[in-house]
Amino acid sequence: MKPDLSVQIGSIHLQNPVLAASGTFGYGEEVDLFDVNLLGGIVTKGLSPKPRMGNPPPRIVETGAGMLNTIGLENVGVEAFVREKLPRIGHLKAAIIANVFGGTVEDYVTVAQRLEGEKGIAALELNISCPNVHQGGMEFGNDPGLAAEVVRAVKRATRFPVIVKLSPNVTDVRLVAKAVEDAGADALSLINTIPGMAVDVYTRRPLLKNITGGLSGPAIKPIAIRMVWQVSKVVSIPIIGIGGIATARDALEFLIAGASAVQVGTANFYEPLTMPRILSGLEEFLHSQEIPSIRNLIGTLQV
Amino acid sequence: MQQSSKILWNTEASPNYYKIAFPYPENYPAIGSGQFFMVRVAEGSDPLLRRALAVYRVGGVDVFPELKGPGLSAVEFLYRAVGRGTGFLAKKREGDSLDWVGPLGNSYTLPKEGAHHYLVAGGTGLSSLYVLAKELIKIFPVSSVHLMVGGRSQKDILCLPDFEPLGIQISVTTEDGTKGARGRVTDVLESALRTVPSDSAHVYTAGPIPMMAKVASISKERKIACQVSLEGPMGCGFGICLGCSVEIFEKGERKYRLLCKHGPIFNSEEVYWGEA
Repeated sequence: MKPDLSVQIGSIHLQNPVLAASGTFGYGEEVDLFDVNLLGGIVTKGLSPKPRMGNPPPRIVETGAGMLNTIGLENVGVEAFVREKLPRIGHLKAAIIANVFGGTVEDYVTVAQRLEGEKGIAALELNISCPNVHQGGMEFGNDPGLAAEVVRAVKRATRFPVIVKLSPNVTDVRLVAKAVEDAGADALSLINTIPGMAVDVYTRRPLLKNITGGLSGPAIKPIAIRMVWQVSKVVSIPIIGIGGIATARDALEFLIAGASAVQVGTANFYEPLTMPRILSGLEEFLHSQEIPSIRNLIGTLQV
Repeated sequence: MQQSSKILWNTEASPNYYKIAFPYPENYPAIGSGQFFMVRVAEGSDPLLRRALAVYRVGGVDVFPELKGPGLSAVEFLYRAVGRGTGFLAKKREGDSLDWVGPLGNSYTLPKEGAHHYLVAGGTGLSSLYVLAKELIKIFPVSSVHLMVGGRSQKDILCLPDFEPLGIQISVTTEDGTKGARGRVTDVLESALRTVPSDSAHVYTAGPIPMMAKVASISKERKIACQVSLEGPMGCGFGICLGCSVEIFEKGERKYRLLCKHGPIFNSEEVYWGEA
């Protein structure tokens, strides 16, 4: 019998637990190397109230088993997303999750309000790793109080389930996780990139124009799994694991550690067929281990 | 498309410069002039990202006598082993597999008319001009196509025998005079452009940024259309990582455009050349 890969993230039903992470799959229509209907979901490029042109180049640099990026949240803006992008992806079997970010609480609310009621969207994902312009650049995701404030405001503005994407750039990720759960978040996704830096020793300049950037790729996987496990112990809402996932075995590690689904990010860049390969790998694993459903694995870590 | 193919050859064309090829059947997607492929140089996660290789030659036995048998065809790339990634690539041998995604990027725009076509190359920039030269001689007289190759020294002048059978004009310059005329390729272009009417000439260039910036400024002065092939680090090569942005002027407005998707070929007037 074919193993059952379907999972629930709160009220969202996913045909399988493999999603494309925000910023690594465009707006869901750019990649034509496989059938995107196979995916559990697609998280869109982060959307802001107005279009943004992003940061000056160089924007990326390769590092050991990873890469740094400082794209600068370049995006078409929520209006163009609703008019031009959503009609082309809203009909897919993969759940469309709109990623939302802002520099103020009002920015998040503005985007959520514009998306409200639009057909084809399954949920919102809030990127709270942004500096709050009213709080002297303090990241929303660094402060449990600020993070909760964003979640409460967005929950009032939308009927879509709200997933909050947590920053690893904190002393104790559990504090922010608890705060956003209490504020009404329907699910959590973690982790976002880890701040990093690389230097050209000949010019003595940073290799990124923006000096620092976010580290992603296999290098961050153990950190992400640790955080997923820690958070799963203190919240009761579902978790989506993110961080360096490139194989079915990576995805299984996250699921066993407590994630109900996973997002694949950087691997989409260097191995565009990563997600379909993970899906067949998960099926093979369940089949060979005689496990009927992927749900039987979630949070089953033996300690 | 993405596939893994057995390498046909990976040979040193000149110290540190390599030619690598794999089979490319005729029913695969057509490859335009200036396009590139992304290849994995190693398995596993270090180095993590694919490397971009500009297409050099494409064809069957007529282009590659090495191909054994009619009906076979291949695609070939010319690259310089400069860093860790291309170092790994240079170690690959005939019969090893190479995982690739391609063809990617846009192509040179072929003009509807023009009596003089100047192809100006430096270093591995030459690789993006072979297919272009072949496309041009299909629609224009072979004598109207002029390849100008420049380098510091003899060892930087690559693969001229590959171009000779095309029958186009070829000029070679080296800064130290060890091959061809002594001087800079941009000086050769400048004097050639002086002898022709602006509206009949087209310039196409690929190579180091300072050379292309000079070619662009010479062309602009004479109001001659110039297309350039830009290079730079890329994350994915197919437009989703947004890592390869370059600064472009569109109708006077500064914008970021993706090297991999909107490029690598741009009109020289759109390009911001910075301090070059």
